[in-house]
Formats: sequence, C-alpha cells, structure tokens
Amino acid sequence: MAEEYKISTPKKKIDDRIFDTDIIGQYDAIPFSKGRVAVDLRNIKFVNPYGALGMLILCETILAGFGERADLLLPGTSDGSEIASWLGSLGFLEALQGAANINFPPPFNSHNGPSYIKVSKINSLQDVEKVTVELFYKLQPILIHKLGYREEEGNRAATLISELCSNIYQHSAPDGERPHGYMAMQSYQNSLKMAVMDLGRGIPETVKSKCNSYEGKSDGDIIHSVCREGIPCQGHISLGLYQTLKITKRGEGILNIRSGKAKILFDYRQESSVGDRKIPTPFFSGTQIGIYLPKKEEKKRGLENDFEEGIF
Amino acid sequence: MTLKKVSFKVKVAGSVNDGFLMTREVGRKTKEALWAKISELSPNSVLEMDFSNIKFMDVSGADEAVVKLLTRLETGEYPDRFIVLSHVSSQHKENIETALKVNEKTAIVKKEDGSWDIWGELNSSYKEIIQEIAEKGSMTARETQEKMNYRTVNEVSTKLGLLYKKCLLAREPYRKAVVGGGRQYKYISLI
Repeated sequence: MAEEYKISTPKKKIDDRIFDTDIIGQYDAIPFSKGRVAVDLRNIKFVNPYGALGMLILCETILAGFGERADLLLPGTSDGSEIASWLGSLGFLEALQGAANINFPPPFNSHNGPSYIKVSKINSLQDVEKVTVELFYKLQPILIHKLGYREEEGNRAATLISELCSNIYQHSAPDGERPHGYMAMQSYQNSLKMAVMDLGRGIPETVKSKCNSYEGKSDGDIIHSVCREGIPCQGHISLGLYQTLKITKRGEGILNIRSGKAKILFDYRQESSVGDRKIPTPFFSGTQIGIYLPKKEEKKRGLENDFEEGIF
Repeated sequence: MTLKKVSFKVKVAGSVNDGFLMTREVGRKTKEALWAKISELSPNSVLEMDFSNIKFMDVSGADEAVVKLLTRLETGEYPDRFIVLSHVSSQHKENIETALKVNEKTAIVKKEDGSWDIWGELNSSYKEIIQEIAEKGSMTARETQEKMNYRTVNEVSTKLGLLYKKCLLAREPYRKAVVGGGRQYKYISLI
C-alpha cells in the first residue's frame, strides 16, 4: 500500500515565512518514495501572492517527484471562507489544473482585479514582455492612487517585475530546457506585494555554472553576492537582482530571496534594525522571490509588528 | 571642423510591444538596429539617440542599447562616430545609470532644456574638462592646460586622449606633429 503524507500548517495563513520554513520543511522531511501527498490548507484564512505561488510550485514539485498529483484540500465555500473564491480570482486554481487534485469543483473565473494581478506563467520571452507591459499599465493606478507613489516610482515596480521575470527566462532553465515560473502581485493592507518564482536550477547552481569563482561558497553567500554585485554572465553582468535590490532599498521595502538551501532577507524599512539576514532553509527547487513595498506614509510608521506577525 | 549631428528616434526592434525596451533579446535586436544606423554615419558624426518613443526600459535593455553600443564604439570599429542620449525619462535614467556604472562606462545626455549631463562612471577632473570644452566648443591640450591650471601639457593630453577613446570628445588634427613629440589635436565637444 502506498504511503500517505500530509503537509499542513497550524497557522491560518500562507505567506513568505510560513512557506519558506514550515511548508518547505515538511516537504523536505518526506522520504522520497512513491506515495500520495495531501496538502491540507482547510484552516487557511489568508494567502498572499508568495504563499499562493509557493503552493503552486509545491504541487508541481510533488507531481514531478512522486509521479502523482497531490491532493490539495482547500476551505470549502460552504464554510463561509472567501479564500477559495480569492484563489480562483487570483488564477491560482486555474494555474494549478493538472498539478493537483482539488477537493471541490473550483471556480476558475480568474481575472485581474483592481488591486491584484493574477498568477501569470513565465515560460517564454513573450510571457516576460506580456507580464511587464500589463504591469506597467496596471501598477500605475494602484501605486499612485492607492499607495501614494509618484509616477517614476511606479515605473520602478514594473522594472522589478521585468528584471525578475527576465531572470526566469534567461537563467533558470538548464540549456535546452524550457523555463518555467510564475508571477503574481497584490496590493494589500497599504502595501504592494509581488512574488516571482520558478522551478529551475536555482541561483547558486546557475551562478556556479557561469563563474568558477563561486565554487565552494555557501548558497547564502552566493545569493547575497549576486544581489550586491550582479551575475557575471557570457560577456556581461546580469543586473536583474542587483537592480531589484536597489529599487527595493529606494522604496524602503523588503526583498526576500530563497534559493538552494538559503534565504536572504533584505529589510530596508526605515524603522527596521534587521538589515540583511541569511537564513538557512531546507533545499527546494528553483528560486522564490517576494517583494514588499509600503505605502508612502506607512514608511513613517513602525511596521515591525506587521512583519513580526507575518503579514509579509 | 564641425561635427555632423544626426537625430534618431530609438525604436524597439524584435518585439510586438512597441516602446518597451526590455529583456536582453529585445535589447540586442534594438542595439543591432542602432549599430546599423551608426554604420551609415560619416566620420565625425554624433548620433543623438532620442528615447522619446520608449515608454519603458529595463536594465537589460539599457545595457544592450546603450552600454554595449558604447563599448563597441570604443573599439574603434567605426572611428570618430559618437553618441549622445536625449529625451530620457527618469525611468530610463535609473536603468541606464545602473548599467553604465556597473560596466564603468560613461554617456553624455542632452536634456530637454538644452543643458546636458554626464551619466555613469567618470572622475570629476575628467567631467570638468568636458565641461570646459563644451563651453568653448573646442580646445587644444595646451589651451586646456592653461585654462585649467594643469602642471603639464602631457598630463592634460593623457586625459583628453582617454576621453576621446571613451567617445566623449571628438578631435581633429590641429597642426603638424611637433618636433620630438606627438601629433596635436583640437578636442571638440559632442554637445
């Protein structure tokens, strides 16, 4: 009889921190063998873009590793939960089709809303362009009218997405293989949250394959270094993460990058005393990136509590 | 000598998204189109790259269409052709400056009010020389030395030669070679 495994969280939300530690930790603890995996999210009341993309790539990883779809258990609409409806609108359920068995017929009426951009696949150069152009026009009203940004600051957010999605296309897949990743964005609680993820080789392996001088360095040191200096790559320096970090710093936000066996948190909020933190994580495929940009006037307020409570 | 100035509106190549100079692939194709334009120029020409059609530029696009173009010009494949950037927005600036600085390149930027700026990596003493020559239109090494109080002509000649190699100043032979020395040039502002 096939083994059955369960991944769940006692928390009522899936965000950056819970995905990077609890969820990946549970996945890593499963001995690799044949079996069924249930991802039980029935008590979840909140999922941010990072959490949604994380669960999506987790289900895809389970399908690739176990050869069977995971059983994804979501809160039913009869429970009064709005989460399934939200995940449907966000395009999470649509993107998940074929990668997991879902416990009830999902609403697939995904669409871009006034405060979010639905889960978008990044499999080609055209996808990168499509997502960036969409964001360029979509972000302006959100950032300017809702979050108090100036037009040029709004453009910076489009730069972030362009650079990160380009990285998926350009760096994540081994030669000859098709890149595969996702992007989603949401304006929530006076802030903008963006997530970009892929299931490629991950930053440490990619960088080591392009530059011998990174051999022997820890995953955390490599991620930190490419964010600070760029990635030497085929006659030029790839500046996607470098520029992402710079823009996050200017926006006094937070950049969270997890890849290989490490997670780096760059916290540039005014009140933050955290700075750069390298946090070891269990290994997980690809690269997962979350960005938080606060509302203008929110920068003056202490957001430490929000962060500690795991809103980011 | 007067530099021939040619204005050219930069158009995105290789993409259906007109005005979005992003991703390395699109940047490369746009750079090739720009390079083709440069190849048509006669010596002592300045291509004024007008970015008014570009709505959005990412750092990869900036790296290809500006930095790589400058790098190729510096190799001397088409000597005495120069570029100046114009109609650049604050969004363009952020990404162009990053690409220039990381690659230790410099570009001259013409602003809409007629003034100009220098973006990228360049020591202030070199910037001052460009400023001085821009005010006069053109200057020899000796004139520059006297005006800016350099100790020797050699010192300022070295700096001017480097600015020429970086395609930030044009030059023309000024007189016959001096006895026991090299050729003299008059250095000309691109603006």
